[in-house]
Parts: sequence; C-alpha cells; structure tokens
Amino acid sequence: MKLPRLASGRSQDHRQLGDEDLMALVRAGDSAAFEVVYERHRVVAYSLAYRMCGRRPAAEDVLQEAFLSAWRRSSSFDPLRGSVRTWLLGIVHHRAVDALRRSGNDGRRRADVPVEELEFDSEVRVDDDVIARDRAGAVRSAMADLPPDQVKVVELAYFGGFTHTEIAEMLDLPVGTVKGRMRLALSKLRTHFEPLEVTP
Amino acid sequence: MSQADHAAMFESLGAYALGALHDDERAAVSAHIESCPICAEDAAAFQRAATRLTDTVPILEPGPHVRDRIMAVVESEAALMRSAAGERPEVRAPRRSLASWLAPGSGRWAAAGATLLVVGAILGAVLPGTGGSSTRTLDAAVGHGHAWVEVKNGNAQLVVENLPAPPGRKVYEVWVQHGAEPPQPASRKLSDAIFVVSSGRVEIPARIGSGDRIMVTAEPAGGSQQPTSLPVVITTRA
Repeated sequence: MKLPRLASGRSQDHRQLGDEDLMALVRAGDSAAFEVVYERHRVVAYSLAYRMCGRRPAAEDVLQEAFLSAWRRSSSFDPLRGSVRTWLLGIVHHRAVDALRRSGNDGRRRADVPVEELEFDSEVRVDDDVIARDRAGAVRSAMADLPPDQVKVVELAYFGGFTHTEIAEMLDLPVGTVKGRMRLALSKLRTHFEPLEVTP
Repeated sequence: MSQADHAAMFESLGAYALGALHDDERAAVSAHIESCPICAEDAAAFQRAATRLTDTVPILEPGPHVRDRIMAVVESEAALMRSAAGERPEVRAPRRSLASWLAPGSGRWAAAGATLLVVGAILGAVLPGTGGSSTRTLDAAVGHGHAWVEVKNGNAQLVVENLPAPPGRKVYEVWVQHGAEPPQPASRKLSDAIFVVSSGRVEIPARIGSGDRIMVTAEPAGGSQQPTSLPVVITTRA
C-alpha cells in the first residue's frame, strides 16, 4: 500500500505508534503526531462527510472543521469510551449534521438515496481492503436483521442529519415512537457488534 | 434529577448517539451522562454502534489540499503554544515571514539574516508583572516598540508604544490564553480584538486571570478565529 506523504521526519517516527499513544502526544501539542492521526483516519472521515453532505466542498469543510476541533479539544478523547476512530468519526458526524442543518432541507435529501445511486466524482475508489469489506458486510448483515421501520429512522438520522421531531413529522409518527425505534435499533446493533469491537 | 427525568434522558440516548437531538436536548443529555454512569456507558456503546454505520459508506480520498489547509493551522497553533510555553521556536516558514515584515523598519535585521535572533528578541522578552495589588503591569519588548498590559479592577488594557506597523494590509489581534488551552480572540466580537495603532490603549474585553497569557499577532483585516502568525507580544499575568 502506498503511504501518504508526510511533512516531517518526526511524522515518520510517529507512524510506529498506536492511536492512543499518538493522542497522548497530540494533547501535549505535537503537530507531527496529529498529522499521523489525520493520515490514518482521513479517508473514512472524508467518506462519511461526503456521504452526508453529498458535495465535495462541503465535505472538505466538514473534514477541516472536524479535525481542527479534534486538535483543539484533544483532551476530550477518552479511551474508555471508544477508539480514536470512534471519537473522530463522532466529531465528523456532529460537524456534518451541523452543516446539513445550516444548509436547510435541500442539503438533506441524501439519506433517502441508496448509496449506489449517489454520484461520485473520479476520486471514488473501490476498496480492496479485505478487512474493510468484511466490516461493511457485517454492518449490512446487522442492518438487514433490523425491522425496516427501525432502519429508516436510523438512516434518516445518521446519514440525513434529521432531528427526531423532523423524522416524526416526516413519517407521521409520535416523537416517542421515533426515539424508541432509534434506541431499539442501536441496542440490537450494539449486541451484534460489541463482541467484534476491538476497542477497549 | 428525578427518576422521571433520568428515564427521559435514558430514552433519548439512541437519538443522542445518532445526532438526532436538537442542540438544547443534546446539551441536556451531555450534562446528564457526565453524572450518570449508567447512561454514560449506554451512550458510549450506542455511539460505537452508530459509528459502525460508517463502514458501509463508499470510500473516498480527500484531496491533499485539505491536509495542507488543516496542517497549516495546526502547525501555526502548535508553534504558538511552544512559543507561549517559552520554548525556543524552530525556524519555519511563518517565522521567516515574521522576520520579513520586521525588515523594512529595521533593515539590519534582514541584512544579518538573523531570523532566530529577531524572534528570540521579541518572544524572549517576557517580563514578570509588577505593580500594586489591584494593578499589575506586564511588559514585553517588541522590536523598538514596547507593549504591556495593565489590569485594574478586573479590567485589562493593552498599552502599546511605537509598535511597528502591521505588515501589508494586516491588523494586530489580541489573544488570551488560559492555561494550556488554545489562544482565543480577546473578544467574541473580532472587531473589538483587533487594532492598528502603533501607540495607544486597547481594551481587552476578556477576563484575565492569574497565569493567563495575553498575546498579539498580525492577522488578516477583520481578524481571525485562530492565530495565523507568531505572536509579536506575549505577556503573562503574574
């Protein structure tokens, strides 16, 4: 695999470190350690941002805002709550939701669009990473086991950035029902994934 | 918090993990999980489960320009933190530009090619505060100019004398750094945190506590949300 270009020699040394060790350095203001964290997680972070925003400039802005937020608030990373990947993607997701809500309804149609129908530009890549393919397959399998009404609210919320009240209005459901479906869906996904979770 | 309130928070954890709550609701749940280990554990587990949804998205590479944009800010802030902590700065591009804007007013700096000497002369001259119990004067030399901060009855003012003009079409911006936190503009309203005068007084709206650092950097007109150049003034309240 071709490794990305890194700006400094220190970054090359930091590549030997695990994510949590890198975060300890980042907390101390080590920009080279942060650069390695960025290089490791930039693709999945950008992929999520693009999936939610649907436009390259918006996704790039989200990526930039999210990683700068991670740099400035590195002390909020708690390894007991999840991996660096989970922490970063949580920040990216939060920023993307903010961007979608700022942009209004026009920017939030993509939750309803199947992934296969999204228009990607020339930089989309077919991932040949076996582990990534297995992880994607596991998630699709878990989602397939959920009732469709639970899948719907999860996708509208997570990828569409809609609030629970918007989803309730959209689907003509009581707010409590929407919240309940979200909780039920995540409880099932949690049960499905946790044995596979490698994070502390 | 009542049992009913706890139950309401508990029921909201799924929506919380999916980012589906309104801002006020999200803040309430965030506050709750800080004090409720049961909900904190569930929230973290739900967050991990929600994040797994990302595994299904098509993989895309961001362009290298995004990394360059991010790292330019990160490097700048890291350098600022190193400088604020009193470490000797490394020779990098931002410092060369700092030397270059000093050069027109004092040609001998550039002629000597002494970039580090210039930066050291500015950043190294951080003096401890002096003054009475309610008034502390903090002092830092800036080239041929002078700058210090006066704090009286909790109100701070930056006083500058013969400060070199900011480079190009830039302005000076005042920053406050609490402990190891990143520097913040001295005012949420950026127009209150910037100045261009070479001699005069600049109000610092932010509250200045003991050990806080006050810094001044040259920024694009209108000011910046984060520093884009090295500080030309660093003072620390004793």
